[in-house]
Amino acid sequence: MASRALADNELLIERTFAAPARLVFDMWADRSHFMRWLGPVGFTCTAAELDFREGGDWSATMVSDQYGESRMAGRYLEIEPGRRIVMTFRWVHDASHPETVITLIFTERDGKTVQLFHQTPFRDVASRDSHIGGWSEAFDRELAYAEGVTQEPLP
Amino acid sequence: MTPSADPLSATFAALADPTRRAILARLSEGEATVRELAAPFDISLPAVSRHLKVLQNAGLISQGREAQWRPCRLETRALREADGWIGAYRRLWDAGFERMDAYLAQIQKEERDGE
Repeated sequence: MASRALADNELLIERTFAAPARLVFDMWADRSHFMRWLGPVGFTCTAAELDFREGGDWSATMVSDQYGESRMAGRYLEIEPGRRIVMTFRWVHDASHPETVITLIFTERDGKTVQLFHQTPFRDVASRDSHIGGWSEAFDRELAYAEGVTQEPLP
Repeated sequence: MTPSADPLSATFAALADPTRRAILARLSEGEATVRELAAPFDISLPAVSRHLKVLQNAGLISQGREAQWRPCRLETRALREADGWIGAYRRLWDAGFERMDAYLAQIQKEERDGE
């Protein structure tokens, strides 16, 4: 698993799952699957509403003995079944954190799926669109990296 | 200079620029005047001043009041907050993906066993 910041305000987590892309995609798209993995150990996802379509809203609640209840929510911006999800993310009761945008890209190879997870602050639609353009270009490089085609690690 | 209403957004916006990151790197070595900060860059003093204003609005640097030199210095609190913000998300998702991995193995095993 690779996990590193691309720039000072971006988070990239690359992870390969031993499962087909449609199933990894469903981990995000299907409420019953989503609730099973969301949150660290010690947290339970007690509620989730996923209006899984472009423009649809989502929300989820995590509960832990130590930290109490945390609610998160956002909107689906782009959906490409089995391949890509772009969604916003914010903490419902914590306005001190800026809203963020999450981009997920799923690539299947030999029955395994590389999931690229990217999260960065969401400011406005224009910056989001220009960001996604830049991210798509970066993705080719990242994918080559993920597949081990490039021998030199990226900085 | 009034601080931005949303400090974290201002921090990230300020950090998004390579010149501003280079200025911060220079200031991590110690105080410097605007002229000293401008020296390594092929840009005008007013352009550097604009970058410094963005950094100052984000609370990343402060500028002394001594009229002539006004040295800039790094304010590390805002940087620490940005790092903490990314770090917190990294921990949240890494932990979730660990569970996703185990859950995927479990449901695929159940699928196979069911056949």
